[in-house]
Amino acid sequence: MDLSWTEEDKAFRAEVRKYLEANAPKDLPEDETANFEARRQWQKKLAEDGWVAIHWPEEFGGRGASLLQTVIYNEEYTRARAPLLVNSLGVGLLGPTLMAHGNDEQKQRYLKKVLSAEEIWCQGFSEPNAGSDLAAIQTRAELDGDEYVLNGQKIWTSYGKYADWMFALVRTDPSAPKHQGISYLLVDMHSPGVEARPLKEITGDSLFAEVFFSDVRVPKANLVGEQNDGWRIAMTTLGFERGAGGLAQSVRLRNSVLDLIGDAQQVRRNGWTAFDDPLSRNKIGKWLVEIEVYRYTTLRAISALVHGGSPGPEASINKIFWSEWHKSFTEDAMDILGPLGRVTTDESGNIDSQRWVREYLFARAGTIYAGTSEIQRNIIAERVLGLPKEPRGDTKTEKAGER
Amino acid sequence: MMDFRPNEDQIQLQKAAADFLSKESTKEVVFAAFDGQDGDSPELYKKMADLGWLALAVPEDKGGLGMGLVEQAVLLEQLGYYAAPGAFFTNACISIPALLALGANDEASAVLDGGKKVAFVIDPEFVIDGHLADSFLVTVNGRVRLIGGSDVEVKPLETIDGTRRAASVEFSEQAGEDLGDVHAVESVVDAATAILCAEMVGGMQKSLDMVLDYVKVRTQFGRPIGSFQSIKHRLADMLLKTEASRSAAYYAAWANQSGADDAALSASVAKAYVSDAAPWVTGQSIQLHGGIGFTWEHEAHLYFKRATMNAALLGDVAFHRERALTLTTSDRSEAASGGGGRSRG
Ligand SMILES: Cc1cc2nc3c(=O)[nH]c(=O)nc-3n(C[C@H](O)[C@H](O)[C@H](O)COP(=O)(O)OP(=O)(O)OC[C@H]3O[C@@H](n4cnc5c(N)ncnc54)[C@H](O)[C@@H]3O)c2cc1C
Repeated sequence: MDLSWTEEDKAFRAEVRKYLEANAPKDLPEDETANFEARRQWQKKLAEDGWVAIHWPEEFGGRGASLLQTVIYNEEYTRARAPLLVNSLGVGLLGPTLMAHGNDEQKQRYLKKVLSAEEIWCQGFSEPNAGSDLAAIQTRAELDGDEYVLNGQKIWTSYGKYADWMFALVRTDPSAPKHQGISYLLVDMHSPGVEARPLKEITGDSLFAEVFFSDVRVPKANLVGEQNDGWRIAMTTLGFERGAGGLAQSVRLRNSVLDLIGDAQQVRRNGWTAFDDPLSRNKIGKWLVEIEVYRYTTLRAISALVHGGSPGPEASINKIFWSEWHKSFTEDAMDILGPLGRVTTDESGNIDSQRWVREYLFARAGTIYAGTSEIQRNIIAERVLGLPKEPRGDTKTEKAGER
Repeated sequence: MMDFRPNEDQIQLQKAAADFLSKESTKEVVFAAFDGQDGDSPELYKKMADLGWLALAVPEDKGGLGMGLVEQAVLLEQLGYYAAPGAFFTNACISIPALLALGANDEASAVLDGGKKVAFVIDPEFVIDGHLADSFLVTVNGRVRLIGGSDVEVKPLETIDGTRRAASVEFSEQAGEDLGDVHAVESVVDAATAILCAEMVGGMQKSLDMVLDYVKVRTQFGRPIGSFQSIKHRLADMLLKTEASRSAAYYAAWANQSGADDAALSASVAKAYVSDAAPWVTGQSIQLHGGIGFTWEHEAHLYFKRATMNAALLGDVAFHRERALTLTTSDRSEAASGGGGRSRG
């Protein structure tokens, strides 16, 4: 066991830090559309300078960076509070999936534009009747000559209204067992017959959408891997979804605790600031402690990966840790900030209460998307601890098909 | 090079310790100590001293095996797993390094061969393993003194954990011999805190292993109880807390061994987290065993009691949360003395 960074690691960290200090935009527009455009420009600039997805091979626009360098990069990126990548689903999910399962033409055609945010991607997995039980998807794709014809509906599609492309799970063989009739398709969102309707979330924003397909024609060339082999490919995508960016996540969440420490000093309660209140201090101390533990845990996971391990079902442990942490932390933050923390009018005093309300509400999504906490616990219990499977109501013979 | 995995030597040590303790710190030995006069097992202590374990992390030129805190964590995790009774932790992880840090090499070598035991006094009302000690390290006005047992009035205290007991002590402030400034031993206490967390991780792992075996074979309603989702989810949470505790304990052991900037912080982080998690995980093991888990004969309670005891030693959850917060938000030197008026006890 040796947790020290090498001199090379440290030099690389310094280089990243310098670049981000000089280039990362500080203030982004509040307006949702303007904000999106500003982030698109930022990602374009990052890509031009070769600082998106640095672990990708150079031929696809990366720098062939090592895993450890990537981790350092992500950590610095978050520490600098640089804006979230606008094409995060393309970079984080589609890119790695295409590199693993796509053909050469697909890699050449799509990957660079993923990095530059020239084409924004969304993830078309969930449907009204297929959430945790993802393999229950019903969107039909029927081969007609050189094209698939798509009919059906996706839901909870993040970036659905901005996206140029969707990576989608579709049913190509309705007569096959649930997991065996699914294919992985790349769908041009500008095709005739695609309609994205924004949905309004509990935060008041419209980050996700429902997407309808009526007789949408998709070239057969847009099939990733083999027809009816989509489930296996989707599992790759979900692996990336769950494994992604643990260390950076710990930095992001720790930033939130530091922000709370700042704001707690601005709020007065019982004649002293919330930061001086022993009960509040105990709570803040708790969240600081736990997010620090999360950092150690992610370092351990990363070290296993660097030394040749694979991100197994253990990734579910990290997903539960950070998402449940965030929910409980924001609950305590609201407690600590009191009534002022609930104000959503602009400029309501010394603290950015709008931000706390938004973070509190948004934290409730973390335990739902990318596999709910309940599903993650099932995965840990069955695949890590080897406990007996749940009796199923749909099929007797198939492998577990939970997302 | 960033590598969290145990190295070959550490894996060998872990195996050797597990092998030895599975034979020498058996259920019978532990229960005998629990029910005995003083909670000790002198035979076990002697054997561990003969293996050189008391001196595991002591430099070779001072008569030790020259290993580090990470190795000590590996060893103590196994002692926790087998609920080893007696004063090994306090002597190996606090008193010996404290004596060495103070330059009291002769006194240290008398302890590391197993001949003498020394208790480290933080709070005279509750001195862990004080009832087994031959002499005492005490702090008077910022100076550390070593006082022989004959100059100390020792009142043994039974505790919830029959294998980890204590004493209250009274002594004259002029008694014994001055060894040096208390600052010399501050990092010793942080290191010991990290190692204590490793011991707690061992108890959590054993509790998890026991209950996992049980829920796979115990049948109710025609199914193994391990197929019920509420039980599966509980076990998933037990695993999460056990693994997170392990990450925290070893991170802190490494940070203290290498003198990292966050050595003190990591010790407090680990102790605050593990002191919360260990009583919960070991308590769940009682719950998921049902009635049999509530019997004296079953080992489940040994681990619950040890976890409960350890959670209060070297600073409890509240103390270490406060200290972690203070270390994060203010100047280090100021924070090192601990904040919030809570005592490390
Ligand atoms: C903010 C946000 C963004 C999202 N973005 C996307 C996106 O871009 N693309 C996409 O495809 N999807 C997206 N999703 C959808 C997300 O993946 C699903 O919501 C999630 O998988 C749960 O599915 P569901 O909503 O159908 O709930 P359900 O599966 O119906 O679950 C309802 C409740 O039942 C529980 N439950 C279900 N099955 C079990 C079981 N076997 N055991 C115990 N409990 C169970 C669940 O845990 C949950 O609490 C997003 C969701 C959110 C909230």
